[in-house]
Amino acid sequence: MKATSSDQPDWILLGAALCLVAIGTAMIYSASSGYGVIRWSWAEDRVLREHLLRVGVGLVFFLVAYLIRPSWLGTLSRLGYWIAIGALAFTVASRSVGSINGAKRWISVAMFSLQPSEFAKLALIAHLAWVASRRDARIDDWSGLAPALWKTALMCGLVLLQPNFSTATALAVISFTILVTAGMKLKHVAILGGSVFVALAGIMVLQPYRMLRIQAFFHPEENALGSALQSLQALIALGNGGLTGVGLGRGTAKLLHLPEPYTDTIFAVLGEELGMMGTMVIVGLFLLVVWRGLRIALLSRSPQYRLLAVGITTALGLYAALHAMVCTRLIPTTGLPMPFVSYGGSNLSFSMLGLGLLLNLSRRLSETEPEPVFVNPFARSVRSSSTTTQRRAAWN
Amino acid sequence: MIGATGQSEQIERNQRTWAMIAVLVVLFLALIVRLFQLQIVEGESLLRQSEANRLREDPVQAPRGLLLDREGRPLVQNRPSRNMVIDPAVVRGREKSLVKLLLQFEDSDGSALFDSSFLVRLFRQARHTPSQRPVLLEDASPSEIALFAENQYRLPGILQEVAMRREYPHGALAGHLLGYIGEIPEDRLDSLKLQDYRMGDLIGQMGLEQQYESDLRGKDGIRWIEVDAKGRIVGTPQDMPNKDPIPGRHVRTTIDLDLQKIAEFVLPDSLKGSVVALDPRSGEILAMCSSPRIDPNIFALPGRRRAREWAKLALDSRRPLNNRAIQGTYEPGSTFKIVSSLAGLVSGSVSAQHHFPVACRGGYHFGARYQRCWQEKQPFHGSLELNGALTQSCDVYYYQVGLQVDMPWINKTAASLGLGSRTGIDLPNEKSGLLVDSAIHERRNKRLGWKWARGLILNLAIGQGELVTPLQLATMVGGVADGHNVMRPHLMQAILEPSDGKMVRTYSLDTLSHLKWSEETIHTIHDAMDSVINGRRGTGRAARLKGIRVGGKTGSAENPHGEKTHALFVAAAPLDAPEIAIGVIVENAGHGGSVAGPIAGALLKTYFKKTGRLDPSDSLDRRRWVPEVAGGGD
Repeated sequence: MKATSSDQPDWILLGAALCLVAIGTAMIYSASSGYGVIRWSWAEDRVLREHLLRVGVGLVFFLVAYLIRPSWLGTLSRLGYWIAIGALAFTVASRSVGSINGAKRWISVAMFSLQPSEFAKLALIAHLAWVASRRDARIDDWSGLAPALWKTALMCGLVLLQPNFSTATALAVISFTILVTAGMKLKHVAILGGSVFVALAGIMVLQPYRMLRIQAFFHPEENALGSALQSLQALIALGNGGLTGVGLGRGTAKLLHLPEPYTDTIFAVLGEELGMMGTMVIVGLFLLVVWRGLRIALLSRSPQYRLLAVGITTALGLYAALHAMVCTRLIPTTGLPMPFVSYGGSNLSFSMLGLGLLLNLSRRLSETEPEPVFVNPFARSVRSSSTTTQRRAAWN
Repeated sequence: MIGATGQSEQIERNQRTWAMIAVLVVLFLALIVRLFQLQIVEGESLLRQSEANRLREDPVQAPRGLLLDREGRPLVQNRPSRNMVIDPAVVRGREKSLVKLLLQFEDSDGSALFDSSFLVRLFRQARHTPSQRPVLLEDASPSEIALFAENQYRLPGILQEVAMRREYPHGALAGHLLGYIGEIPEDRLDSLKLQDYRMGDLIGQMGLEQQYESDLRGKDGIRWIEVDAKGRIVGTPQDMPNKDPIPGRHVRTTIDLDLQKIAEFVLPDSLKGSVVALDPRSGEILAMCSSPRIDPNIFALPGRRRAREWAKLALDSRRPLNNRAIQGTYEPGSTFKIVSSLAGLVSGSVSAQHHFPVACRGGYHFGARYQRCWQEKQPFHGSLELNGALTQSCDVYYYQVGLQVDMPWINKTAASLGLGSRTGIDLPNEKSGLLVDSAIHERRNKRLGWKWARGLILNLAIGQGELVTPLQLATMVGGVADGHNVMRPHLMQAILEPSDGKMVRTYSLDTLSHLKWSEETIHTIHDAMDSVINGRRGTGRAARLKGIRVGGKTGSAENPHGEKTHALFVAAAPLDAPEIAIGVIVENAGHGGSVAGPIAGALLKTYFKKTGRLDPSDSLDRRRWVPEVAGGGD
């Protein structure tokens, strides 16, 4: 079937995401200026300037993803998957990697520091979407599930070794979502879910500091000097905001009380300065993103596009929900950024990449197959191109 | 294009996508409810809490618990000291002039008190973290305090602060077992953070300070201070939930300060070695000393001087940082003959009256080998029974004991007396020592390809090849003297509440092993150990006491480290109801009887004088301590 780029790109989705980026930029400036001056004697606009540079880079990523031919995604995602695995393994193994808070999560390339787990997230989504949508993929069968499962497990394992427990969990959840949408049997879901739960319990036993973190979550007052204080401060900030907030730039929690005010707790800063109205706008914008993203999934005729859209939308929505839940103390403290809003190059770049892909798919709703990369002039029908896919799959 | 089945699949998958949407929507709905609860319903009460945002907690140092001797005399205590600190808010903008002035400060011997790189670093730190007061001068001396006081008007923002410092009033006394405290090493900080440790906190790093860290360390209190938006301290608000610091608990040790002092005195720093004295009835360590010594006070010195002293210790070829009492492993030499004798008696293959076929004529033929006795020349030992053999330490006799009873019995007996494994004393990093049998021998010498041979038993039976610590020697001889139980040695007697001295918990005595020896066996070995000390030909006459039955054994272990043998001595008294057991090892010092014996003798004398069973007038001459030479033998 010939590609008919007849559908319109989803302008509502783009608008919602750009609104989030704009609000995020304002909040980053508000949260970083005072903090940076007090903590590090930085220039007032230092973080803002760096953020704007990253927004620029993110827009480039967005355009690339928007213009790319989805038919390349199969090959690209496989390549991307293995590059991500390599980068993750490199961060685990290498000594030359910068260690922040004792966790090795960054690779420094020239002047940019890259967080491979963000890249890994997108590579895994794209790759799984491709693997699970192939015609010969029997996702309702263990043998068909196996390649998708071990690829997810390998990546989650490497992310766990970083160590980055929360991202590994999020990755696992996203992969499950993709596989369930692809037609995984509910029986298999139950078995896998059970074994993952057992594995998590094992990790809790082996790395007792995680257990302590959870205990601190349930008894914040006893541990008032430690990490639980952070989340209490976030609550105080939110409560201080009330309905209308104390006003942009007037929050006090960000100054010294909240940890990492422009990344991991930016939602609390926003809640204090813009109040419930601000937080509702953020929640509403993310609901819009989720709705429009999953609408693309529902309307896409190609299975690969559907899975890709589900994966990207879940990733964006899940990260946003988890970030907000940390700030509202619904779950224990972890360091997850809020997509589009938080400061951080890697996260922003890959959120924009995902957005670009979603928009790209939104104008190809009626395509059923990705158009082949090289059109075989001797092929008589679409059938022949799918055999190529099968052959390629055979040695993958 | 899509068939009927394809369509139903499509519908099912769309259902699943809808389920995903439902899950995410539920997540967000929960979030909305929560935000409503936080920002609207509880907003007021949280707003009141946010007042605390302008307040900050300041930790208040909790005094660390003391280490006491068994009579409650302090072995480690705290003393107040004065630090000069910087108030970042005040010094801001005046850094240059302050550095210039401070660089002119000199200490008593005329060298500069500060160097410029240190000051620059300090002021930079003050600028970056205005909520903390960096320390300019630790533990300032009176003259230094006077210097700062004189220049006070020129030094705005430099304040005095009182802090507690660890003090070891007896200097190097028992330094190894007391240990020291120091800043948390960076690599351990992450795991300790969860126990409320912060960077720069002091933590026990050796000996009892490390072992009982959780008891000694109190819980720092909290004082609320008011800070402005830039983190500067504005004042101390009233009616805040300040928490008083909880002082650490005291540890009452089993150490007897009087005995420990004598032990330190008779084993001067010029000798390398170790002395351990314990009460075999309970396993309580009465004195434990390792030489050369360390003085834990150097770890409480301020910055640069501490580093200098530490380097001196770490680089010393005599390895003063080792606690030889539990970490030094030595060949037991002839002291092991007690174990060999017991193995013979307990296995039933040697009786007290047994004479072996080969009499001692200065050596023993085993196959093609000829193993010498230490007494190679006239007068030979001749044919001996057990008592004489132990008294004169005849090697030929024990070669034959070893061959007769074989290693399993010897090792079993040794293990029942606590040799070859850690005693489990409450000190970190104890060594286990070594007992050798065929399997262990071949495993240890795998690289060399050495195989086990029966001839090795000859060496092992006279204590060449095993490894023991001085603590194990004392435990062993205590067990033999008691004859029934070997108790686990320990140093903690009780943990005390600092406020009223009430006992929080006590050490529960623990038996290492029950000895199931016949009364006859006990009688025979005690008689033999008695003869070693009190017999006419005994090698351990330096440790005999008037009116008290002392039993023991000397040893002189050859070693690759020097010309002279290691001198060993074990003793326990009174033999039938022992109250004190002693193990002594002096490296490369000569014979056990002449060097180590008098050391044990001095300790025994002190102990029994203190308990009133020996005439106190017969005092040890402290000014002229010369080991008396007695009994030339091995």
